[in-house]
Amino acid sequence: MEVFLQQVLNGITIGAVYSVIGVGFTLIFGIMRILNFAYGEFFMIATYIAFFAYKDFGIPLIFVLIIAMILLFCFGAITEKLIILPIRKKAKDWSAGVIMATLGLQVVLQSLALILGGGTFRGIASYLMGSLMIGPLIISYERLLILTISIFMLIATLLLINHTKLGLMMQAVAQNKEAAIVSGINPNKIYTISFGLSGLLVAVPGVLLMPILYAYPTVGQLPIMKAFAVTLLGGMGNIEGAIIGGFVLGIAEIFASAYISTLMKDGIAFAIMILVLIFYPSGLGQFIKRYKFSRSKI
Amino acid sequence: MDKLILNVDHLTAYYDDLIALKDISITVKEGEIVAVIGANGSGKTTLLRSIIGLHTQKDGSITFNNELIKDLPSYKIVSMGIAYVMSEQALFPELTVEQNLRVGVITINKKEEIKKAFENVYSLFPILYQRKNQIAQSLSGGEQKMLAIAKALMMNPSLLLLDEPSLGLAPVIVSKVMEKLLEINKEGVALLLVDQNVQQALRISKHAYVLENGKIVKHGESSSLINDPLVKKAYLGR
Repeated sequence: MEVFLQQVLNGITIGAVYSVIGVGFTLIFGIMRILNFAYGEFFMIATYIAFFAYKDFGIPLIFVLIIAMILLFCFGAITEKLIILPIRKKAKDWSAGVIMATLGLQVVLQSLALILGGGTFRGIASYLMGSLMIGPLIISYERLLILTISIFMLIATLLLINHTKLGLMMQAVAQNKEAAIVSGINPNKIYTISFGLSGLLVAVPGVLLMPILYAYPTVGQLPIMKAFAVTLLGGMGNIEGAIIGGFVLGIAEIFASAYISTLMKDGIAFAIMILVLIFYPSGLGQFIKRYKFSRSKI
Repeated sequence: MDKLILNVDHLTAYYDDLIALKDISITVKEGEIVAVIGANGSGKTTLLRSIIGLHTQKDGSITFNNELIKDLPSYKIVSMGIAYVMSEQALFPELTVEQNLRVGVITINKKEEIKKAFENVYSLFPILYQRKNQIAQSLSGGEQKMLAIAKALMMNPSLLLLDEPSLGLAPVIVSKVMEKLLEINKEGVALLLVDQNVQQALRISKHAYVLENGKIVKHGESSSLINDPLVKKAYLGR
């Protein structure tokens, strides 16, 4: 029983991280109906920012996190303005073009990282020592911090979408772009901000996972895989679905490695994803009554 | 009350090589109801979309209150006092009635104005107040139409563009919608409506234009058009 509870706790921790990664990714799909293949590279940039700011400049972790969130917000917004907006302006049916452009950006950013930083792994052993004991359960302070901040980010995102003017505008643009435009909303602004928010969200695990995922040019591959899985599990573009999907994936992975084999970790997790999709093709998010970013016709 | 607010002058609209509207000139005066009638595919929707800026392939001039709006983006045009009710898919399906209306005042920051807009709209459409926490998708066709009109009214427009306000509605609901439109007009809002329901459109409007294959073939007082042999034969089936 204790082992079981310990695994649940571990699963929840990693699940919270997956949820944050998934929400940042699915947000863009929900609002713009595109996939950002360079999302993993947003994560990669955050890992480099984290390493240099924390290790070389000795900036306290919390400020490193804030700096990375701000920089990645800007990077996301600039990516949208500089690469995606021009494509959207020229082509009427721009989804495919934009997706290919993000695929290109992925390769460009990886190459840039390789040229500028070399293939070295840059990481730290730990930023917070010690553990907390709760009865028989044990959680390191580091993991506790990751869990707390991730959950904080998820709540903040939900509050932003459901209870702010910006969130209402995001939902409006996602659900019916033309109706949003004739209500006085400039969708380009919403797209730019959404890309920024996506970057901001992925910066959080990028910084906090510093002792686990070291900064190197292709470190983004793991997060984007998880982002895909979580997005599919939760239903494409479904924020609440992605949150559930993240926890399901995290717990499934931990259980697979604890009770079957660590080698089966990804295999089992993705097998569960496929199973879920067979029975619920639009993802676990369909249990949520309202899709904030749906485009059902009216 | 006869100040010109909308002036569409020699408007030609394209879809790439295809000409959808040819040399259209129409005017709407302050507080007036103007109808554009015509069959499916005659270019009625393109006309409204050109005015509001959603359709961008166009030549000619469009002015609103003497300001050239032809090349402005839609989200700026609507802030000048023109609101547009699309014929379908005018709403945010997963938002509640109240949230839909709130999007209508998204560009307004003054709390007082927002409150006034809600009071105004809810007194005009009491049914929407009863349904305010329901999502738009769950409303009946007539209620959705009312909500679409209400959402446009939230923006406090001086000109309301209406695309097929009677489309897909039962005759008894159509009359209700038309009554509401007359009520809105009484408050001083000018209406430019396009409709296939020629009888209703001519009944409530003062002036009307007949659009055929992208060209205006007739225009005049609605009361005289309703007795025009050509209009009767083509649109009223008499």
